[in-house]
Formats: sequence, structure tokens, C-alpha cells
Amino acid sequence: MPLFEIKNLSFRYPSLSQFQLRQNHFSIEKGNLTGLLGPNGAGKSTLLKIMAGLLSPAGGEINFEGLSLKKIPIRERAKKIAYVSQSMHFTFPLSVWEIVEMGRHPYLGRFEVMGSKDKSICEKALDLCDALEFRDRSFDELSGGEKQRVLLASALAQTPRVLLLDEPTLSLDLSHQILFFEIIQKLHREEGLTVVVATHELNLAGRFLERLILMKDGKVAGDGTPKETLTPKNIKSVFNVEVDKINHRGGFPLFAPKSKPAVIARKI
Amino acid sequence: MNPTSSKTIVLLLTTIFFIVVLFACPFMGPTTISYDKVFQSLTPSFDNRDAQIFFNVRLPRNLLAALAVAAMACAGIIFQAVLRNPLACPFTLGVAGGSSFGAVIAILLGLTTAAHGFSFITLFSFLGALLSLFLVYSLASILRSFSATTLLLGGIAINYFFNALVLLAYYIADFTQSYAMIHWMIGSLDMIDIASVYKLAFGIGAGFLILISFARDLNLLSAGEELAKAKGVPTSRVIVLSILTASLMTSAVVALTGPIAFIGLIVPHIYRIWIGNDHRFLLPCSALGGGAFLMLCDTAARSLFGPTEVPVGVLTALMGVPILLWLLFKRKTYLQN
Repeated sequence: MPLFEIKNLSFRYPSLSQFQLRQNHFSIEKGNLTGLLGPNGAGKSTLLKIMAGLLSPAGGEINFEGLSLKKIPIRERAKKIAYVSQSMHFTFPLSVWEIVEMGRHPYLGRFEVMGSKDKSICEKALDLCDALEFRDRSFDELSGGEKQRVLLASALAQTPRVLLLDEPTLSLDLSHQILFFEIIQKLHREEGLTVVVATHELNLAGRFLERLILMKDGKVAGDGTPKETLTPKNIKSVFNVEVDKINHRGGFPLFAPKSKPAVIARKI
Repeated sequence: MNPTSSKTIVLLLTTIFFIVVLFACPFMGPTTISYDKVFQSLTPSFDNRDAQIFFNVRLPRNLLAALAVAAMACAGIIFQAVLRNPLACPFTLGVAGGSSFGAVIAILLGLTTAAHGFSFITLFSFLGALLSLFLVYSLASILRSFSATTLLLGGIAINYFFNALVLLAYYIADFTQSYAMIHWMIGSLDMIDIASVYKLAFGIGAGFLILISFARDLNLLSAGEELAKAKGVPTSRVIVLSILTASLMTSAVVALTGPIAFIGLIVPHIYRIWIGNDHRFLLPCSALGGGAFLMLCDTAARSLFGPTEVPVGVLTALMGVPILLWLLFKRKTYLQN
């Protein structure tokens, strides 16, 4: 049984925006390391939010472990599905440890205090994310890369079956992007975690992920291994950019834009 | 030392400070009373003047001061967390305007009689507070949006509306009535009846338990609704229940003391700077620390210029502002958000 089963899923925001998700159909197997790849506005974030239970689909079905997602109580859902959003701003700053502790929320009763088991889960989560050394610092004092790792640790503290990451490397520099993807790869290999990550980093996705779902205009436009999906032709149709494929020694594909993006080129 | 244990120590010290202040302050005042005479017998007899003053006058008033601030500080924290706005206070949803309107109407109608700790002014101001809450909630329900912006704007609009009505009432009132109105709006703690203080204590205590049970949810909510939902918080339910509880606590206190506003904004921030924003510690520390602070202010207000009393609201602002500013200067990073 697949972990996520998505059938004819559609969604529309209540505002007048033109954007909508249309007739999406795919499933996520247990233990998969999947990327949702597409340009801005393709519907990656919306799809992830629906999978995380933060938005309800307008039509179609979404099942988690064979059960309709909306029928799973919110606390049970939080024990199984963890979600990390694009960026976080805390109006009232909290310490790193306080943020990681939040991951244990679905396991604790109203007046229950964290036990030693909860604490060791939080410590392990921080350790896995290379963030244990700043556990007592204020979240606001951290760099972008450190913040992302703390939020990842807080998600891991939920001991979820699946991790949904919404463009986690958006504001990170190259070395931190690579570090972040390496952590995800480690979690996948060593902890057997299922991960779905939305991104538009072609080169990183091609290098670190096992399966890519290409999205364009709210629809799945391609699905398969990086080798199958990442072709100059697909990239042209999804991202509207002409690229050259460069074969790297490591065996993963790299892409370099040929010239100006097609849209801009036409306007000139 | 790890941060959790230092927060625990602050909580412990605040609790001890609170208890000391609660029982020490009633000994101070324009009339000197002796410790020995107060505790001469377990039940204060009628001829024991010192015990009478201690148990029937000063202790209830002291307790009222503590309860008022505990409620205000907690309500302030709740509104700040749920609306994710550091400037939110217990009166953000228009409670101050509504309750002032109620009190002013009672004064204008001449319903100033009080008996057994029950007065029409108290009743009307409580109803006024409920009315303003009802209006803000209805607005949010009609708009189908309990977002921070809707609640803030709705609350401010309703508050201005009631304030205009209060000014109108003030304008058409005669001299005695307008004096009573001003007196009520400055806020005071001279309510003597001990039975109502205990009733209030029961209500505030129950409210506090409800709010502290939401402490972890509030940590998550103050970080954003999306994060809270992703970590398993039923956000709408927590928002509505905690705001309702905080508003009822505020209304009950304001009905008895008048709008002592500023304290609900300032006390939480003093503790936010000191121990951080973890609601499991922030709520009890602010309640107890704020309570102790107002008891001290009130004792000063009673004693310093005795036998006349300075309005306690004036003293809290005069003493609270320097404390907050001093902490702000010490922790400049707090401002950099």
C-alpha cells in the first residue's frame, strides 16, 4: 500500500487568483525520496500543504496509509506527517530547544511535561541535523542555514513517517544547500524516512533525489527518475528555459541555461 | 546552567516574592497595626481592631490587586500570542470601551446603589464588556475570518465607538455624575467586600488553569497558525477558547476595578525580556510577578501621601515604565525584531 495516494486532486484558493490545482494523480511509496519540481506558481507548495493536511482539497481524494487524510485526527496526523514551511518568522523569539520541543506536542497531554524519552528524541533530532551545538541559543540569532536545520529538527522530533519540505533551501547559499540535502539524504538512508521535497533547484534535485514529479500550471507534467524526467525538452516545457545538459563525472545530470530565458528573449 | 532550570528559578523566586508581598503589604498603611495583635486568635473578633483592618480591609484589597493584575497580565499574553502582535493588550477586543460604556450608563441612570458587594455599576460594566466582545465575534463570524487583522481592527473600531458614546454620556451628565464617571475610569481598588474577592479569585483561578493548559499550544500559535496546525494544534478551537477565557477574566476584573489598562501590556513584556517567550513559564511568572507589583504599588498609593490616596493606575505607570525601559536598554536585541 502506498503511503500517499492522490487521486484527481484539485484545489482553488478562495480569492480570485487564477491559480488552481487540476486533476493530479500520483502516489508516494514508503521510503521514497521524492522531489516536486517546478517553477514558481506551479502548485508545489499548495500540493504539499494539502498533503500536510493544512489545506483541504476542493475535489478528488487524498489517502494516507489507506485512510482518507481528512478523517485522521489532527494529533494523530501530526505524529505521522511532519511539514516544514518555506520560512519562519517568530514574533516572539524562542530558543532553539523550545522550538525543537514543539515537535513533541502531539505526544503530550495537556499538563504533561516532557519525559526523558521525549528529551532524548529531541536531542537526537538536533544531532541528526547538525544543530545540537546551538540548542540554547535564540532562534533569531541563527543564520539562514542554521534556522532551516532547527526547523527540520523540530519536524523530526515528531518522529514522523513522512517529511514534507517546502523549498527548504530557498534562502540558503550553495554550501548550505548541499549540506541540507546531504542531511535529508542521510535521514532517508539511515532512518528510512520518506521525504517529499518541493524545490526548483534542478541540479540539486538531479543529484540527491530518487524520483522527481515535474509540475506546471497546477498539474503533474512528468514523473520518474531524475534521468527520465530531467531532459532539456522537459525543462524547456516546464521552466520555459533552454538548457544544455552537461554530464558530470558523478553520473548525475547538470544543466546550464543556454542564453536568456525564452520569455525574455521573445520580448527583446 | 541550562535555560529551563534558570526559568524554573525565576518562577520559584517570583512565587516566594508574591507570597511575601501578599502577607507583608497589609501591615503597611496610614494606620499602624501590630503583628502580634493581628494573629492573636484564629478568628478575628470585633474588638480586635488590628485584626479587623488586616483581614477585612487590607488583605481583601491586596488580594483584589493581585487578582486584577494576574488576570490582566494573562489576558495580555493571550492576545499578544494569538494575534501575534506585541502591542495587543487585554483591551484589544474593545473590552475597555464596552465596560466603560456600561458603567457610565449605570451612573447616568442613577443606579449607584451597592449592597452585598453587588452594584449596578459592576453589573452594567460586565454586560458592556460582554456586549463589545459579542460585537467583535459577530463581526468575525460574519466575515468568516478569525484572523489577527479582523480581530484587531474590529476590536479597535468597537472600542472607538463605545468611547464616543462614553464621551457623549459624560457631556450630558451633571457634575456629580461626571465625577463618578471619571473616578470609575481612572480605576481603583477600594472594594471592601471580601466575599466578592473570593468569588473573583475562584473565577480567575479557573480561567488561569484553562489558559495554562493551552501553554504549549500558545507557543506554537505565537509562531504562526500553519506551524501550529502542522504540529497537531486544533488552531480555531484554541484561539476561540483562549480569547474567550481571557476576555471573560478581563471583563470580570474591569467590572470591579475599572480599566487599569496598561499593566496587562507591560507585565508580560517585562517577563518576555527576562525569561523568554515560553508560555509554560511566561503565564505563571507574569500572573504572580504582576500581582506582586500591583500590591506594592497599591500599598505605596495608600501610604505615601496618607491619608489621601493616589490613584493606583497613576503609580503603576510611573513605576512600571522605568522598569520596562531599563530592561529594554539592557536587552537591546529584544528590539531588533
